[in-house]
Amino acid sequence: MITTLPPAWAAPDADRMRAARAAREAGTPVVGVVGGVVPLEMIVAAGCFPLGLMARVEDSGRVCAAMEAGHEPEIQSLFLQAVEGEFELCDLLVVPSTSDAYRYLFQYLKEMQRRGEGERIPPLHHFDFLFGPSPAIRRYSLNRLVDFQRRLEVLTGRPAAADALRGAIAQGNAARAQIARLNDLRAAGQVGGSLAHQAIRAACFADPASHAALMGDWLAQIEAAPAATVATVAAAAPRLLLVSAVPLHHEFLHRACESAAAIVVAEDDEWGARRGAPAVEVDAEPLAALERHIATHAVSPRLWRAEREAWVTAQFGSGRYDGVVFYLPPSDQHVGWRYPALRSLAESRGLATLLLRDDVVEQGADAAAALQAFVASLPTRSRFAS
Amino acid sequence: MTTLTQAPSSYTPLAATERARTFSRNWFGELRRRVIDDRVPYVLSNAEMPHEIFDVLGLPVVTGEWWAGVISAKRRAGGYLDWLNRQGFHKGLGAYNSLGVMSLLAEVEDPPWGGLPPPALICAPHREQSAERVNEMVAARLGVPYVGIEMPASTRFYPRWWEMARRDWEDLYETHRIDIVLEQYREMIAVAEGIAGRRLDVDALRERMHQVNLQETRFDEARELIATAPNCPVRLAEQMSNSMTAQWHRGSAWSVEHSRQFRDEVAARVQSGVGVLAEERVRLMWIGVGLWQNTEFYKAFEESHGAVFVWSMYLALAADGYIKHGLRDPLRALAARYLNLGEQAHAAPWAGAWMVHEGRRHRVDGAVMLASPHQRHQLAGNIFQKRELEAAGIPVLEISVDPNDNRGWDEGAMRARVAQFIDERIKK
Repeated sequence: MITTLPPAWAAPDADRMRAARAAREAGTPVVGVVGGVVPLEMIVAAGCFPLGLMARVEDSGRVCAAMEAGHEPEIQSLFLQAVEGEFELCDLLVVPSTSDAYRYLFQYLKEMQRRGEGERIPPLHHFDFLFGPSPAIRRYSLNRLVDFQRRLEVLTGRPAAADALRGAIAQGNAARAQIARLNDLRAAGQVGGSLAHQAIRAACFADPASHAALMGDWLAQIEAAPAATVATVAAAAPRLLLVSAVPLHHEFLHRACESAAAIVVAEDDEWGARRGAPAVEVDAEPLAALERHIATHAVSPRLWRAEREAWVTAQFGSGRYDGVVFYLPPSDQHVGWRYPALRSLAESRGLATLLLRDDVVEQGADAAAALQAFVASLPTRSRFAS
Repeated sequence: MTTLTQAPSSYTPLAATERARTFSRNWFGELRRRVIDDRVPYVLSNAEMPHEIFDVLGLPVVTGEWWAGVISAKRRAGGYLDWLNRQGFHKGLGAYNSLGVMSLLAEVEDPPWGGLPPPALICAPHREQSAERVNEMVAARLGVPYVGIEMPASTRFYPRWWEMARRDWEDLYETHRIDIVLEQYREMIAVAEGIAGRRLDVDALRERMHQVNLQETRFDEARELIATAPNCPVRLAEQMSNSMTAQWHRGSAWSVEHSRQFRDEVAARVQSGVGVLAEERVRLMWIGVGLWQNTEFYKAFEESHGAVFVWSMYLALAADGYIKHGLRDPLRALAARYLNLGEQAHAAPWAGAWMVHEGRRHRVDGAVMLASPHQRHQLAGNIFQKRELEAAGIPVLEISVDPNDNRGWDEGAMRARVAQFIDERIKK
């Protein structure tokens, strides 16, 4: 099993802004993006650097004078970073409406600007993509893509080019295919979940082309490793699926699972396995194709239940897992409504389940103990399924 | 402590209050009978939905939050929530918007008023991401349709919204946002028409909206009477129950008449100098949703501190949020009404500016603010509201409490906190 990342990803949190800063110094506008739903292809096509903005674990527990403590740690951290000027290098800060947390984040940032207390917050753009089966909603969301394209045109001073967008979509599809490859390698036990998740997250801070090259090399290295290097202990380890109610901007949960001698094969998380989604259509009108893709594959709490759960329920029936860990930290007000049904479904497929309600960052010891006991109760494997 | 010239115990509730209570009980009993015996279809709807459409289609509407309030007021919420927790729904899930609809699944003995019968349609706006999960789940279990309305985000943030909301609503709420809600309403109407077996009469809807405007104008007048009277003439719990009982049936003949009776009764009290307290020393406003599990709490500081709660959002929102003139297209006006109703009551910049305006108008000395971590909209924005109020010279006490779930309520501790707040930050 591969146990190391390329050096450039080894500590992506150490200097997240390095590549973005270099791009900006070279005259490329930087567009900061919250969450995993905003189509980065549009930013790339506009000739801008897409910078994924992520929460920091070191902000956990910090008191924020302008945001209530009951909000998710993720948006507390993003809010603090924005107000304290960590995102100042961004020429535009895009916040989607794809979760309650992000909606509130946008409102709070907007309010800080209105009060004159947000001098260090970049100009804001609200990407108000709505979900649902209604044709009216689909048209509305498509129009929000058009708005976003206009906003990027204003930023760059250049009209959008359909060919550039098609090229960026092709590049995005290649990245999706790489993650799909990575997912297969995880299922085969050739790479652990924490490394894979870290590798996927590293894309947030990197130039897409550079990241794709590094990812390609890394995947090739994993695939070239002789089967014998897949350690016996890893091959026998129970395999887990994580279903998280909040975006995992850290590796704590994965590492806790691995400390308990289990392997995280996939996670229902916007920074994880689901980024290896099916490709965006390349022959269709680009904005319409992006709208369809987001409406179907976004890992968003606001994606309607049937679409959101389709991937999870498919995983339950895939035979790839021994157990499911439901991570519903104290801030959860969403997946908890589906937990009893999802638990029943998982158990009906022969999967053991564990509910974790402790925050794995702040109450790591409790979570680790629960995971140890859970994993110990699972049968070990003699080999990985093909 | 303050010596009062008129003991609070001499306070006489409004006649309207008992009328509203009786009406609710009888209306629900009759609805329940019709649904069970006559198979009359009804709609279970979230509060922030255009009930007028269903009314005109002849479909009775039960408001989920109202039903949750009935359960809570009878101190039965804990029993329902215990049942839900036993099924695996964790304790951090908010009850305010879900208890009503989830009560349809809960197996609880002797439910209030016999319990909700199965609806023919469930609908809710997706202001919070949990809305689709909860309502769709219940609808699927019952085998009835669910209609969810996606809510577009504001692109303009005009704090003094109440100055535009009645007539300039197209500008205030933004054409593209009204358009998308209106389109979803049309899709919902098609579903409702199928259940009702008839088409929506838009002229009848317009007339219903006129009646709603009349009702809310009377509540507006009642608010003005309460704000300007030397002493608050009616307890807050009664302001809430009278306005909200009418709101859940807004535009009906009963509600329009009730709003008149309520206003006239308040006016008579003001004219004759009757107040909740003869010697009113402290005027408080309640920020946030109602404390439905314990509305008695609002009178807890009358005797000890001469303190009376004079304001909550309910009567004020009936006027500022609901009245819509310019009814050439009544559906469009309805769509505009619901776009920001929640934000206006809770989120920056709308709520804070409004609270300060209302606080000054009602001459309040302090505010008690509900923070319910289990319902994000009852927490988010509190910091900004607090800052606005404090900057305006209105001290604020924020208390963490669930408006419905009585299981964690500590009467002694809550009383002590508010008493300390009055003593230390307000007392004159």
